[in-house]
Amino acid sequence: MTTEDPTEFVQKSDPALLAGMMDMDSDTERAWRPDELGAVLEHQLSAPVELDLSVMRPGFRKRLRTLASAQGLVLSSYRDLFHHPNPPVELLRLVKDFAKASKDDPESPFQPEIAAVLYLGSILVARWRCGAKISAVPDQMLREGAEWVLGQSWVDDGTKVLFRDGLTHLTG
Amino acid sequence: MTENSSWHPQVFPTTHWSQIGRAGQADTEARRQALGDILSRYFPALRTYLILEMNIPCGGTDDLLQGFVASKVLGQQLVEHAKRGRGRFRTWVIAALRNHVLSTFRHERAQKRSPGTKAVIDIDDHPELASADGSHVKEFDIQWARDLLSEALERMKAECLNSGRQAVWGIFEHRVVRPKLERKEELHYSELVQRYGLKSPSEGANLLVTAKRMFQRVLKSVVAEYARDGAEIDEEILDLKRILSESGAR
Repeated sequence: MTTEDPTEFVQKSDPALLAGMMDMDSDTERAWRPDELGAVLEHQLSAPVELDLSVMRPGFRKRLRTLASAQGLVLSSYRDLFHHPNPPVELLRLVKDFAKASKDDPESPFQPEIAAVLYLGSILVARWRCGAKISAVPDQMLREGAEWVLGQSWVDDGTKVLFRDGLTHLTG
Repeated sequence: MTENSSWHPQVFPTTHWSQIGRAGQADTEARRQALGDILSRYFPALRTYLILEMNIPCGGTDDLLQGFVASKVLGQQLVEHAKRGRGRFRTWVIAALRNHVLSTFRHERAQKRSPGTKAVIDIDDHPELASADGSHVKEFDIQWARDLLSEALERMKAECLNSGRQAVWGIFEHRVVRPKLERKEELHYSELVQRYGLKSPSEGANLLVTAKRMFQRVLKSVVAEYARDGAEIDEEILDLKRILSESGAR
């Protein structure tokens, strides 16, 4: 905890810089440094799918367990789901809906960039591994979205491989 | 109360100075004192006005300001201002201050003509005091904004530390205050997670949302001490933001 007086910054700063302090409600500056998003993505991909989705839909936990175990799956995280050779389509659809809602919600604990990776990942995996179209988003937009993910320095190699393979299937 | 709550039971709504007490001599005095307490926060701004606009020597400003906030006339005049509901409080304050300064010097000149007394400044020797043209009001407004933000930051820091929410203040300081005002890179969330024992960077990001909301609430509460209503609070903040944005580098 700092002992420096924060008012010193106010008295010394360029007035134009102070303008940004007058309206926090409109503060749209990035919440994350680019080098932090990698850690956030890793944390999210390792997080339990069941926990997030059951918060989104209370009472849904039992259904999620059923989905996960229906094909002998051991799903403990988003990463497990995305890399599984035969994931449940309904579960991917739930992840897609959850990520979309988070991306559009300013109150969401998810950063928009992270929500975008989950959103696009669930759609691509459903097309590639399940042959299912779980979204009405046009293929061109999916390609552009996948290219955006591949261009981010903070996305890990494993996720990039997933997106490259998904993109290949989309264009193939 | 969770860390993510921006409400705290020790924070009560701000009372506008004109609402202190009820009608009556004693309460008029209470309101004058309350008004004086509020104005003393903006002494740097008022001092700026005296020095730049009225050419008062630096050494002479404190006595004038103390006399201004102690003036019985001030309280009565500002009650009238509040009742009329017109004009910005800042504009009224510097008009009242200017009148007080001119009145003080005229009084001292009159005293000087009495045997055995001397005026500190003879207004006849300083015609510029009566001819202030408003060309330095912008500097006054900028300093007023600095004083307002300083007060808001001090209150927010005190509120956080007194309620055991060091993490909220720390994240606000290192992700908003210092980066915005010192143009420094934000402190990495991994560092903040370690420093404040957070569960994850995401918890830190959530606390930042809480902190921004808290600062906005505190800032409005400081303005509410002199603005008449919610609309005027918002107008005052927007006006000060505009003035700061248009100021350019010093």
